Amino acid sequence: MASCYTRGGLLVLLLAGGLPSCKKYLDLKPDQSLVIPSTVADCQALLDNNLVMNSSFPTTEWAADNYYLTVKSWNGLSQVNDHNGYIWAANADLSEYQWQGGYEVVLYANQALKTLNGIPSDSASLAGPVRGQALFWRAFSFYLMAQLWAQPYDAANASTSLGIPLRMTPDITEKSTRATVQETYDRIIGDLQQAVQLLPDVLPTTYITKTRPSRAGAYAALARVYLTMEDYAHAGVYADSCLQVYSSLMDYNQIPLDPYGYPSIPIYKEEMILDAQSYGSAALSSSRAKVDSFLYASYDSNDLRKVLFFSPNTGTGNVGTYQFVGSYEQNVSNVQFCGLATDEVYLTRAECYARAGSTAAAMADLNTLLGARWKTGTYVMRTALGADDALVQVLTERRKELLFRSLRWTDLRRLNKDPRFATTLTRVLGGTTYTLPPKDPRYTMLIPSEVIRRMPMAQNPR
Amino acid sequence: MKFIALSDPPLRGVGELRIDQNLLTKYLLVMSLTSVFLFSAFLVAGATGYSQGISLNLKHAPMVRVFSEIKKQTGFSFIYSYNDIAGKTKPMDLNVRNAGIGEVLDLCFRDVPLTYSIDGLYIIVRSRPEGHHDDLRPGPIRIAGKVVDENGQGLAGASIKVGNARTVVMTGGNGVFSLQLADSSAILVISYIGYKSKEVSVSGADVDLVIRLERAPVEMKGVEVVSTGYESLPKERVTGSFEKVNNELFNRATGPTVLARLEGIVPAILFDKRQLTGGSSPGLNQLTIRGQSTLASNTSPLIVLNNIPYEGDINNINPNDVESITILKDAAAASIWGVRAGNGVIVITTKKGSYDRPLQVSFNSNLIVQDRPDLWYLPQMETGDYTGVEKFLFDKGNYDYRVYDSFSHPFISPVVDLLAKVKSGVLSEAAADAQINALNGYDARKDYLKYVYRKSINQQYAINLTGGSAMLNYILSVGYDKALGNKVRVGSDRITLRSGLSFKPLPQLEIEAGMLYTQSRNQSPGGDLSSFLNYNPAIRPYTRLVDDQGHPQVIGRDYNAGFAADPGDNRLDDWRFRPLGELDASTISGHNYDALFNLGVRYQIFRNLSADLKYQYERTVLDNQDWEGPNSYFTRNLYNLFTQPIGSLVEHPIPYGGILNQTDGNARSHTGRGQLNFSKEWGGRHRLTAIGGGEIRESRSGSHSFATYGYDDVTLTSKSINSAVYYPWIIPVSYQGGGFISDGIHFSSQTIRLTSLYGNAAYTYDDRYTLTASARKDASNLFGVNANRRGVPLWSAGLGWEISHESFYKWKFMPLLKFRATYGYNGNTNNTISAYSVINYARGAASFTNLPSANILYPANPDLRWERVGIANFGLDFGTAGSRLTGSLEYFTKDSKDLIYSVPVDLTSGFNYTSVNGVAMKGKGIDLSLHSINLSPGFPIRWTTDLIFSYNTGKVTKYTPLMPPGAGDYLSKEGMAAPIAGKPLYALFSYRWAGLDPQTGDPQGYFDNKVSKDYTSMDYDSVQNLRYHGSGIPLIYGALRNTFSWKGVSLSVNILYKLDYYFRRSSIDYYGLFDPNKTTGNADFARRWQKPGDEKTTNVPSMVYPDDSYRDLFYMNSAALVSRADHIRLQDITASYSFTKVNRYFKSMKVYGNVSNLGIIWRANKEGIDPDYGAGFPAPKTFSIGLSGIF
Repeated sequence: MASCYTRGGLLVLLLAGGLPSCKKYLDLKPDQSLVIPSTVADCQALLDNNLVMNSSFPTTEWAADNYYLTVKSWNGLSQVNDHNGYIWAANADLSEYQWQGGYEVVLYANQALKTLNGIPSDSASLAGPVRGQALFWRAFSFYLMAQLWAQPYDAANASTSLGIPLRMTPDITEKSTRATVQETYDRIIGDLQQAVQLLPDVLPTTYITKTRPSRAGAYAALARVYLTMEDYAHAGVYADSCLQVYSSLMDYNQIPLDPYGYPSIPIYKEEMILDAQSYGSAALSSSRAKVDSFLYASYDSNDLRKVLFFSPNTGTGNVGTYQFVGSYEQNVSNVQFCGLATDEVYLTRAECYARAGSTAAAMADLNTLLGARWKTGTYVMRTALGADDALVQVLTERRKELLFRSLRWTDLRRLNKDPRFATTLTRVLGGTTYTLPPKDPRYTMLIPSEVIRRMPMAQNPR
Repeated sequence: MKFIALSDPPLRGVGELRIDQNLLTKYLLVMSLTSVFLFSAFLVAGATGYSQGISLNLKHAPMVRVFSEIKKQTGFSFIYSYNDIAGKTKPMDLNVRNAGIGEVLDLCFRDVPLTYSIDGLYIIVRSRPEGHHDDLRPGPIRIAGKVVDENGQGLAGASIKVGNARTVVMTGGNGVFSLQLADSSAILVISYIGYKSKEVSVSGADVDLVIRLERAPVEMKGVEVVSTGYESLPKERVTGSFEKVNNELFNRATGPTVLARLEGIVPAILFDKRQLTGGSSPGLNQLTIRGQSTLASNTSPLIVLNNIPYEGDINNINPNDVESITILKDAAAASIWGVRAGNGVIVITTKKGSYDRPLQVSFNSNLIVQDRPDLWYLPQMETGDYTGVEKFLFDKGNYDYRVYDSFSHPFISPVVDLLAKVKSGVLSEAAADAQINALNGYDARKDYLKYVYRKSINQQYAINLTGGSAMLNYILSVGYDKALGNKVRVGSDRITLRSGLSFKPLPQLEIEAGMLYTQSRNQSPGGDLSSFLNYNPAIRPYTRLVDDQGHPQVIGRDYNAGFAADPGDNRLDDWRFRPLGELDASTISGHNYDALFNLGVRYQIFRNLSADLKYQYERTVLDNQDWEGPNSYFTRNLYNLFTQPIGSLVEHPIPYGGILNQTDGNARSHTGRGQLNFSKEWGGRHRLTAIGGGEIRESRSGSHSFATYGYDDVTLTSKSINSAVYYPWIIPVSYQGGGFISDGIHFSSQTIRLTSLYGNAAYTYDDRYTLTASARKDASNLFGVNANRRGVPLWSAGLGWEISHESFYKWKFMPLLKFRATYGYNGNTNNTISAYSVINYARGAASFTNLPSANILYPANPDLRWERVGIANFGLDFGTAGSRLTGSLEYFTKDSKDLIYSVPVDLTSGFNYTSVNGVAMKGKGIDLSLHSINLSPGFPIRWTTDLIFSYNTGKVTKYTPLMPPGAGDYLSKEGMAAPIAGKPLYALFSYRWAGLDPQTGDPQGYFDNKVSKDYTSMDYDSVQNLRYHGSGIPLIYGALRNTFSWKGVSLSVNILYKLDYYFRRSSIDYYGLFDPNKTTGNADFARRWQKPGDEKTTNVPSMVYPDDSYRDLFYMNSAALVSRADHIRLQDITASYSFTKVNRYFKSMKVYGNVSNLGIIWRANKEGIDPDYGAGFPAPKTFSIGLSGIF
């Protein structure tokens, strides 16, 4: 009988007894697609998630003066945000997703940086370029967000004016507080300068070139940041560094029109350095947003941008108006390109030359760019009467080249400080005129109220 | 004469009862003496009722001792007078083995001046009447035959009484009996424990009489054994909360799925159908047991099939195979299932064979027909109102951006198209008006009812063979179901095969093996078309599916009609969409193969100790296809979109032909269990049962999907595509973007491993006190958890007290009274949070770059813990004398801790929401079930009433997100479990309502306690400033079921009620109405504010342009649209007729019919809304008829 006990007991124990302590058995992943990030490849995969890293930046374009809406189109907008935003209402508030979109890029970058901690990552290592990408993206996103929610950079008060929260870890419990404008720009420049050390000059000529940051991109970004800070000396140096590495421009004569008469700009055209897209807004959809008519009129008939950038609207009441079709992104509907391209860098270098008094160098850059924009054989090399004239010409072309790229708003914030270039923006809706004078506090957007509700922080003044 | 029931409180005789005049006594009066029986005795009877053999070895035992032993073994209670026993009997010796009750009783009464009769569960002992040794005088007429059960099995020990004679004849071993009657005609009254008594009139000699007794199942309720999946327990010895659904109750409804038959028959179960559309039957997700005890984790109860968790689709189980269902509600009942028991457990036991039983074949077949849905139930806007709005919006320029979009040629509705033609001068205004007027005369619902919807038909066939010898028994069943869905080309069928074998090679050893195979198919039009064939408010009210000639009509979809008809390029395929014209152009078909094998060995090591080993293997294979043929709109649209110009030529990156999306899924699981069972009785008063064991389980599932282009289903050929190239959509919908051709490739693989140790013990003292305890430790391969946190111990303890067994208990009105109390913990699993940051690699490579890419799924959460639910349960089981009223009342509290919920976080973190162990809830409730026999058992008509009642309330006690949700944010989560501290999980809030602005018809609410139209501020306001109405799910629910039977006819009516809750009804949403893609017109539009003064009679805001979406959100979430949801519905009526006279081939036969979803009897809302169905259609009426039998 005792053997019965032994037998039964053994069987039961065999099946059950020893197992719950068997750790290995329980170490198996419940879902094979889940990973705790630990390798360089994991970090690269996070940074290659182009739906997050390249396409969800906040945009300033809806507030700028590249377009206008008819009162009917404005009425047809269904969101209050869009209504208020268009007329720069004092309480105009953006969707919180614009904020989260920018910080999601920061999160991915921070996660990669945290995972790479402890992995040797100098420029020669496998991890180095990945670390450089992460640093670049964090800086680039901080920069774009600063154009909306940080007060304009002014060396005189940058250490007291309100910047943006600078999150440096993926830890969800970290408390967010706003840095000063100086701290914000210092961090951006610091990260980009580190990235320059780690990134390769350019990436292989595949699609990767356009979605991953390169050293050329880091230089271009630094040029843009210093330009925003009105540090023209540094901006010029970095623009030059960029063009030393990568300077391709597209000849617009090579862009075919498709059989239906629409331009067919190939995606990732060669002058793009880094692809980045921003959230659009309903106001910017191509069937609503009409290109500012003075701006359209300013293009010469031999300037190919006039046909490649703009397409006439049709239908009653629309004849004579144009929509913008010249984006680097195929889908112009309401997504805007906000990445880096050589045309911007040429214009930045030209402006810096002009401001430094190098009229000839400035005009050489301008002619290089415009030569690729005009019909073959029609372009006449431009000259300038002096550095100031060169600056005016460069800024005029900057206005005409860099449309719907989230750059105009930043330029307005910067150039409005100079009485020569100060502009008062106006919107007219059904007889009512709304204006935005230079240096108005509304040049800094309100932080979305949902963001502040969840994490109280100082709101921008009105 | 006074009678006493053994071990039950003394019972006063009927004579004394007659003195009382109150109602209750009157109730009792109609009962005949013979039906006075006691519930507790009955419980024992149920536990052992099927083993008739009595073995006794008594020496010098007093009569009462003999009675006591017989009661213990058979469950029969004795009713006798002390005087009789004391005065007329003396101790006796008795030695019988496996004897029938009649045999034993005959022995007992052989030498004493007493006689007995058996009535139901009672053996009534009387003095032999003076001078009448036996009033059953033998006569010349011989009556002989057999008393059998429903399955034709002989019933040994059934009593046969002739007319009013005092004495009875008992049937012998196989149910055979023989009588000699004096008169040629007589009435025989046959009764047997657990069966309905039956009267049979005989005239003349008959030696082939077969008398079939029907089970009296309602009395059996709560009597039978309950199964936890680990052990079967007689209900008298459990302390936990169980609900048993026996076979008859389960088969009362005729639905084709197990779940469909569970509604409205047991307390605590609630089906929440708010998210269901009409006609679809509720799934596991809609079912809660005693309310929801978790938020973001799996909320479905655990399904256990024949003792092992069942991972397959519960709809694969053929209800015809089900013998009974036990629902485990509290910790003592369910904690044995550990971390999977938090939502309750449903234990399904299938039919089994029996030893020593000849082959028996039973069948069941039925036909279920369901009406088409009532499309007119939805409060839809009049067609004329709708076209009026379109005109209004056109004049405002609302459609300009579409009408004049010559790039993407977006869809514009027929009315807008006409108006645009007028504006451009192509059409005269009069002609347009005439055409619009014609459109006003159409109603899309008519076409949908005529061409899309139909009556659904469901056929079920089931055959079941059982039998067995002394060493072996078997069951084999085959089922076939076929359904034609309620829409054209929708259908399914299912084949189930089941076999079970039990084998006893040695007396101590039993081996069981079983197999269950299910194969099901379903089919419907392709995915793209199916969504269009569901009628919904986004379909324009004047949409026509056919033209005047009855040909399929073209319907505008992505592009405007002119463009779709002629895209201006003959290299493109037809771009028009004709829903009815392409019914056959695409098909979704799904196949599901599910096989389950199990093997069990039970070895009786000692008399007190046995060991069980169980193993189960389950394998499921799924094969789903969405075939979009070359003529389907889906395929033609993609073909055209991707067309690329190459100079003057074009290239078609999507090859011509069909597109086949295929998903292959498979799952397999292994479960092994070893268990020791111990059971011991000693000293006559002590009884201990205990089980202990371990379980190991692994379930893996995986899937693989891919798309095939240029697929030709005739030649079985396909063509290759290049999924790595980005194609701009050039022709001719310029600048709408571009894309990759998806190869649809996706792999997934999941594995859950679980190990458990468990133990459970119950100790009973003197049949009065029972103590139970259970403990279980689970560990699983939860991801991203520190190893030492992978396991969680869960336990329970319980107490049972048979108050009515106490000597001090003297309440004769209620001879059964039992109290139960338990406390313990169940758990929930959740795989969606992790202690570490978790990323997952995206399916396929990233767009544009073709590189692997990864997403961050969850942030690191080092504080991750298991969810636990503490449950206390107090129960009272009671039965009045004669079981006229029996029932149980339970009170429970639930205390859920560390519930995981997705909380809003600082958006600066890059996350929007993240899951944390942040919520605690407390709940309490009552479950009551009552069963009453309303007429005397002697009465020819039997009328019973069952009332089930559940009260269940709970509130969130702790919810500490970073920030409480804003009002609008909270309201947007309506219908989801959203915690607010101090309120129920499904709390219904609304904006306070201040009426319409008398000047403008704007809706008004309150902000800062002042009347306000600042909708944005109200949207961001605190939830605390909203108006709280109450729970959004019923706090009180249950059913009332009346059953009438007379001879073979039975009629049962079930009424369901849901009370004490609120719902929000739909109304006009101008934002949706103005959006050409939404079109949610509501009939309330006709009652909108139009001029000052209207605000006195309506709450519907005026139409303004441009629309303010916050204004709409405010109105739709305002108190003006909240009503009480309480309602009572007539769920179903079931009727059946059992043939009493069956021929020699058929042992029994039954025809039955059922009408269900008969509609609402009473509702609190005045709008005629069925709150059970949320925004969908109520389930249409269903009719079924069926036939079942045994031969």
